[in-house]
Amino acid sequence: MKRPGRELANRSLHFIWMVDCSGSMSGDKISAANYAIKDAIPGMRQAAEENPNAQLLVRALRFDNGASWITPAPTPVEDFDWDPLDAAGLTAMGAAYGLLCDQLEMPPMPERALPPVIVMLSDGNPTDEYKANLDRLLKLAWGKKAVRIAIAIGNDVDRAILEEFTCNPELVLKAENAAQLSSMIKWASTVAKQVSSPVSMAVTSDTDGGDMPIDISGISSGDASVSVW
Amino acid sequence: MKRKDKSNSEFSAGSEFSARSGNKYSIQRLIGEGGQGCVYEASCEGEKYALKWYKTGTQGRPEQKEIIENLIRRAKPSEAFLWPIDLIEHGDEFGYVMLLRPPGYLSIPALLSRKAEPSFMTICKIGYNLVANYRKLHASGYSYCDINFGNVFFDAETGDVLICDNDNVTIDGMKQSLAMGTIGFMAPELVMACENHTSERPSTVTDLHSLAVLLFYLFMIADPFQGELVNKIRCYDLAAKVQIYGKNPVFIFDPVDKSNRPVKGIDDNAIIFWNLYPDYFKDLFVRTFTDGLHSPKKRVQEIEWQNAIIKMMDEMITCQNCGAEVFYNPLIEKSHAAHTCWFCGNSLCVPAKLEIGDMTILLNSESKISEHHIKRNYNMEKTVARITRHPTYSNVWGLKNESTQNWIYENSSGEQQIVKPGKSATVSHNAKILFGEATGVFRTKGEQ
Repeated sequence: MKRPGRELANRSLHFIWMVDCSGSMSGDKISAANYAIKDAIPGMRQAAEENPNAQLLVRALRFDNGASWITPAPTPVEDFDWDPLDAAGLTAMGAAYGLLCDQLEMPPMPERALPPVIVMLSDGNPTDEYKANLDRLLKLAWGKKAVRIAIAIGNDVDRAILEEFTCNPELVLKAENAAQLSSMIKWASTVAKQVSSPVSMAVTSDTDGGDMPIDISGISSGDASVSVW
Repeated sequence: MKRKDKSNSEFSAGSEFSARSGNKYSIQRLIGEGGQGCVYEASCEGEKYALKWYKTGTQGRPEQKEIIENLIRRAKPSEAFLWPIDLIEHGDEFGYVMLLRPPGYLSIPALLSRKAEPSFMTICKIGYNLVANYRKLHASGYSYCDINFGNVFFDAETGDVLICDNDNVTIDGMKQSLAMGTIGFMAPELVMACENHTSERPSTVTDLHSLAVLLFYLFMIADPFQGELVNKIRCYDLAAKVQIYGKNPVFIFDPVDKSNRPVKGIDDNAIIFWNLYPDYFKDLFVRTFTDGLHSPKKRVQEIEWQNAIIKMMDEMITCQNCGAEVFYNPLIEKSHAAHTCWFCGNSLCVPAKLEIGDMTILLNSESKISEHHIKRNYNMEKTVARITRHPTYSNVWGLKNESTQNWIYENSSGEQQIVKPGKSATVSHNAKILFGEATGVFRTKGEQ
């Protein structure tokens, strides 16, 4: 039995995990983050399978005393595995923005794609000069178009600094415990599906946002009564 | 009842719930999670079911519960619908029970990524079954409200379909739907209603647009609005989609507005498949996606799709060289040209035909005559005749009576014979079969 043609034409969707691996993350924070990201991957694979309009490519970068790509090349989600990260050192968020910028230039980014999704996890404020690289990121075509989400872990993060990255206070999520972190990471992992369709729109959906086509109502708040970090 | 965490809507295996009906369901495992909620496998008295549990928030509101309660009270439109059958409440939260999707059914995305590769005949059957079942739903007074490729499944052998996620189904015209649809499948007036916050809501006519998009994906493995205009967009975000599917939708094969033609190298599927299908089928897409875009009443009705797809199944030629399926075009035969196989390039002989009224069935070695061909009742399931080969004379083909009624066979000289059930009548030029309600005539010589 045969029919001609090939698979449905699709666009790439770049999904980038950006993880703070500074010393303050060590212990339960980094291990909870490692677990939650690994736990979110099967769901991302399944969502990708259900969405032939997009080719989901995943990458991760870490920042501590400097910044480096853990997955250097964009990797199809079916081949993406999570190796646990360790934590030590400072919070070179600016260096991480720099690496991100280099990858969001065209090339290496394709001219046509779905909006990239960047999810940053951090528990502290940058220890390097970050403004110049952040400005560069927000001026890049794909940097601007990216759905940028920040998950603040614990109470030591200056929310305003993360809002400079997301440019949207609603996309700065605060995780006060492992359950919340897990739930937010899980939600962030589903944003790829949201930006690439098909997603059913509820009657209250609002398409006015343009750049912010995501529904944050699905994030569960976790249970605040368990161990606060 | 045990909950892993009282606020994150996840149940652990072994949790038990009493439903409205009094039945007790026990959670077995989580089988899916979406924006609206989680789906679990649950068991009740040894039978397995699916339980959809709503997340609190938009989708878990009381109006949704009312919709489910109403659906549970009503009969499902057909066996293809995985219809809500029971309601479970727990505090402010609730969920509903439905039959579990049986194993072996595949998703449309599997077909679009070419992991499933059914024949053209099976594609036609899937399309026919989708259309026929949505017609039953609409005939019951309901609208589905969110037809898209994520909520239907098919059997790659039989073409049987299952329609899931029936919790958006509402009475047509009542504007009760809590879903607006899925962008890409939504009728343009709904995309604009989301944009402008107007009161437009999904209905049976918006379903007809979504159904046409779903059929286009199924048959063409392409999006009907993704052509040059999409190629010009670098970042295909929601704002871009509102433009393409709402503000300025242009069908890629619009006969007048050629601004959104498929792009070579990207939208090749659309070009390849469009060239293979017969005009009477393609015309239905053209109508729905041109006049029908802005005049919902002009959208193609299910029965028109049914008639076209039946004709496609009836008029298929199997390549004598490679077995590929080719759609018959009477104009080619009339002009004494040969059909060419799209796969091997072989020139094809048009097989013998059985004409019943205005229907023509091409008699390939696997052809079947269904009850619809005789009674015009759209019963394509029931086979009343099939092609057979004479047990001794292998070059003699016959039509075997698989019905329960006697037929009368009349040869070209007018002599009549009875064809009892189980017997076959020889396929011979101008011979007739009197089926009772209809008469068929064999044509073994090409169009003169």
